[in-house]
Order: sequence, then C-alpha cells, then structure tokens
Amino acid sequence: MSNRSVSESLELMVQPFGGPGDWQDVLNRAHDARPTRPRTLALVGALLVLVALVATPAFGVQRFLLDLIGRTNVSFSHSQPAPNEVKKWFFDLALGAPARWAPEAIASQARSVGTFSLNGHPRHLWVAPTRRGGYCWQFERSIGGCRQTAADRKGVFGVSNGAAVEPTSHRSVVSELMGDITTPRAESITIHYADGTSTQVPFVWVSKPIAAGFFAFTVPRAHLTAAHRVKSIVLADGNGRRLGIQGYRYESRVTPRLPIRMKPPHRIAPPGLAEAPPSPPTAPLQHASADGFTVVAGANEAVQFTQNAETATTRRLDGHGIGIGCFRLTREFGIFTVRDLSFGERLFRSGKSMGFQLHGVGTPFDGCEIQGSAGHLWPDKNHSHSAVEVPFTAVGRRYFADRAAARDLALFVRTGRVQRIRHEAPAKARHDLYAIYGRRAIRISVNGLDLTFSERSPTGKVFTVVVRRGRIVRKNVEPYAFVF
Amino acid sequence: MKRDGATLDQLRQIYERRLDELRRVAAAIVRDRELACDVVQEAFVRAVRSRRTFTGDGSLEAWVWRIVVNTARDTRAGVWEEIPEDLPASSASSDAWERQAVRAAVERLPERQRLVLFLRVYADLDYGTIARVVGITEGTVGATLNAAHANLRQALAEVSS
Repeated sequence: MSNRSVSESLELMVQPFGGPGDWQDVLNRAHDARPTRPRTLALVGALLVLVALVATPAFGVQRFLLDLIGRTNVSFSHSQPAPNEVKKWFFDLALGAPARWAPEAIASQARSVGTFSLNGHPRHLWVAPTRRGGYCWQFERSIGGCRQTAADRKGVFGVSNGAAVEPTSHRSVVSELMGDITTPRAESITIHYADGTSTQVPFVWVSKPIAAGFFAFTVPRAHLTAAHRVKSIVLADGNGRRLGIQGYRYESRVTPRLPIRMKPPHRIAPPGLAEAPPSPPTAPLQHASADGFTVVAGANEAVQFTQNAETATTRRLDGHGIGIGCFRLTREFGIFTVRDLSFGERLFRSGKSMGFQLHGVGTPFDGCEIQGSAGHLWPDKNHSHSAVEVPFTAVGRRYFADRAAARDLALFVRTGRVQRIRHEAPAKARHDLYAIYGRRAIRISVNGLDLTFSERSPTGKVFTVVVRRGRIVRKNVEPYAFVF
Repeated sequence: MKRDGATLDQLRQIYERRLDELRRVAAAIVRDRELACDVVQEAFVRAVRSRRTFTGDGSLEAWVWRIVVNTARDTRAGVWEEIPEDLPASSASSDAWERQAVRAAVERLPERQRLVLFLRVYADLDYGTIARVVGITEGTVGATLNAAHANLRQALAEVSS
C-alpha cells in the first residue's frame, strides 16, 4: 500500500466521470416536456386503450398499434430503459472481439422500443446506440444484430429468415422474417406469397440516435406450403415506390438423398496454441504461480503460461485436450458476472509454454486456469476444482473455492441416480441417499415437500438446491455451476 | 419560508452543476459506474415528477441529494452482494490493487459512515447539507466522519504492514 491519505485513496476508488448528462432524457422520461392535455381528452384516450386491451388480450398495446399501422414511429428517448440483464447482454457483445470488430454498444443507453408477436408470443425489441454512430438490436429470445458505425448503415434493409420444412414434400419454406431498415423513407413492408396474395408487415421506426426501423414477422401456417410460401419481401416509401426487395428461390424439386461416399480426409493436425502471445504482456504485469505453472498477464490482456514443474496434474493432462483461459469477476449493471474467455488446446504437451491474447475480459484479471477436457464426474478426483487454478487476487482465490463447492453440489444433484431418487418422498429420498453415499460434505434436509441439498464452501458461502417432487424449485449455484 | 415546489429550471441547474459529483456518490453506493449514471437519471426523473412536493424546508440541493442517495440505495438493495472478505494479493497493478483494497475497507464500514464519507469526499457537501440528506444532526456528521476516517486508516494501515 502506498502512503496516500484516506481521502486520496477514496479519490482513486471512484474517479470522476466527466461525460455530459442528458437533461432532455430526464424530462422525456418524467413526461414533463409535453404540454398538459385536458382531462377529458386523457379520459377518452384511456378508454380507447382499455378497449384495445380488451379486444386483444393476448398482446400489449404496442402490438395492437403495430397490427393497425404499417409504420409506428417510436421515440428512443421516451422509451423505457432496458432491464439490466439486457444492458449486460449488449455490454457483453465486446467480449472476445478485437477492438476493431467490437460493436462498442453503449449498453447503459439500451431501451425497450416495442413488443412484437413472434410465434404467438409477445417479444420485446431492445436497441442500443454504438459509440461510432451505429446501433445494435435484439429481439427477445430471438435474433439481433449490429451496424457498428455510421458507415455500416448501407443498403435499405437487412433481412434474416427462419426456415421450416414442409412435412409432405420435405421442401424448406420461409417461416419467420425479421430485420432492420436503414432508410427513413420506408413506410411499408409487404410480403408476397407464391399464390399471388400479399400481407403488410408492421414495423417500428426508432428515432435518433438509433434512426432505424425494425420488424419481425411469423409467417402464418397457411403459407408454409410450396404453393403458398413466401416469394419476396418488399420495402416501399409513402408513394408505394419500391426501395428494396429480398426474393427467395427454392429448389425446383427435391434432390433424392444418395448415400455419401467420400474419401477419408487427410488428417491435418489443428494448429496448437502458440508458445507466446502475439504481443508480449505489457505493464502493469500480474504474476502468479500455482499447480506447477507460472502465469504472467499484461494490461493488454496478453497471457503467458510457463510450466515450472512437473506435477501429477501435468502428467495426467499430458496428451489430452485442455481449455486454458483467464477471468475477471465484475458486477455489470448490478449483476455478478464471471467475465472469462478461454482457448481450446487439443493436445497438451507437458513442458511446453503457452501464450494467448484475450479481448474484452478487461484487466486486472482475478485468475487463470487450465481445465481438462474430460469434464467432471461426481465424486470428482480434483474435488471439483479445475486441473490448474492460478488466482491473482484474493477474490479469485475465493471464487475457485466457491466454484468447487457449487460444482460438487451441482454434480451430485444432477447424477442419474440422484435424479431418480429425487422423485421419491423427501424423507425416503434422504434416507436412501445417505444409505448409498454416506454423510459427506453435502447435507440433505427435509422440509415438508422440499428436499434440500446444501454444501458450504471453505469461504463460508452456502450453496443450496431445493427439489420438490423431483424438480428443482430453488437454487443458488449459478453462475458457478449448472444444475438440472 | 415555505416554498410551493421547485421549478424545472432549478432542478436543471443542479443537474448541470452537480452531475459529476452526483454520479460519483451513486457509483460509490451501487459500486458500478454504468449503473450509477442510470441511478442519477432515474433520481432526477423522480425529482421532476415530485417537484411540487418540495416544501422548501431545507435547501433544494439537499432534497435532490436525498432522492439520489435513496435511489442508489434502492438499486443496491436489489443487487447481488460480493463483498470482499479480505484484501487482494498485491500482484495486480498498484492502482488497481489499491482501489480494491480501499473498496474492501470501505465496505466494512457501517452504512451511515460510508454514506457520510461519500457525500463529504465525492460531493464536498458541508456538514449541514449532509445532515439533511442522511437525516442526522450536524454534530453527528462530524463524529461519524471522524469514526469513518479512523476505521479506514486502521484498516489500510493493517494492509500496509
């Protein structure tokens, strides 16, 4: 610790922000920028909304409006901020991407700009501007994309489609269409079908800084046959002039499936992990050693693994596949996150140095590790630890301990035998499990209909999985481990 | 003198003049810089909506600070806690390590001490305003600050030795 005063140390802890604010955003969200309308008008509006909701109980108000009107203009600044999970999703887009490919989405500004109906389910559309004049978008539980820079706003629209296979002819047909629109002149989207009919697709146009339109459409079941399937999607302006078209060509006949006879390919060994990262780690460096390895990581996210001793672990890994990477524990938008990236190495050779370059994890790292490719069974011979765990910080060390405990519990609860016994009456299940496995680190307790499995980490953190009638109803092992 | 609400212009002036300090205090409470920006925006949305309820009992700025602090505390309440139990090893860069060390020491302070400290260090508020924001007397502000400094000095000295 340096000789800084308490005040100086606190200054360092939360540094100034410096960026401008957005007072207009405050006013828009508080709905104070609008003039007050007469109370009677508001009442009529409220009644109309009520009628709309009663008329279409399955959809939200926005869906109702989208059904009526081809284009719905949405104010970005008036829209609701996206939930923190969504903001984090936009933030994570940078993970693993080299700087020039990272979308640089401004996750904190992500907004929910509409609700669409996809396969009969209401799905949110979320958008976020990027730092270079572009935008990213995401339909809930579906696809999304990014136009990273202002220069990427080319073409009038981008269309993605989902496909289904027609059950009788086994031909593929377009079943879902969604995408973005870059021209503000767009006023309508029309889908033309092979039978000569057409349908209008509603879309939203989101104001600056997004300045783009978005649509999502599930093709009706009646148009999932060869005679009625989607032929093209057309974007037009207010005068009906075509701005863009995406056509779909299908195979004219079904190609009979022939047995595939191919020469076995030449065995080409995949390139192994380099002995050093592309550029050496830069200062300030992080150094740590554990389990026979020394790891040096740089502020540029370059990492060098050097084996300094042969151990039982390195002997066991020799000649097998491994995963090697580093992580940082953060809280993004209030969500505890293990920010990590790793590389696969098909053939670990004891004694060989390994180096790699990460992108988007951020430094300082809390730790690095080597995982065997064999996975984990219960009971795990590494006590549910990874083969090599190299913590850089106390937080990293605790994470390794907590993850091992959470993994141990998760592996136990999800083993086939325990899954079967979970369906028994709680008291009998507890008796049977103790009879088979004895009283180990995992504690099993019964509370009414609930069977609770718990394990305490050496750090004091207690992980639990609560099962009712065989199904997991409560758990706290994520993001350390996965249980089902 | 009792006033009948605050004006949008008064709130805007506080927003523009104090934005950085407001964000820093929010960041210190919620421990997330991105979230802190959201907290301040949300707090001002609340302030604008309820500006007519400001009675003039105390300064408008103290009223705004109280909203920001309460919004940040509400936000933090819904956030998963990962409070470091001991201090990080010194292998990371010295600034990053020091930030974590200070953070760990600060997290161990009682909440009132933390809050008073943040408002004093990051916002440079006087004792009177801090008292109104936190809901304590000016004398208690001084004593709380002294206790916070003493606790921090002791925690950080233990790390140095």
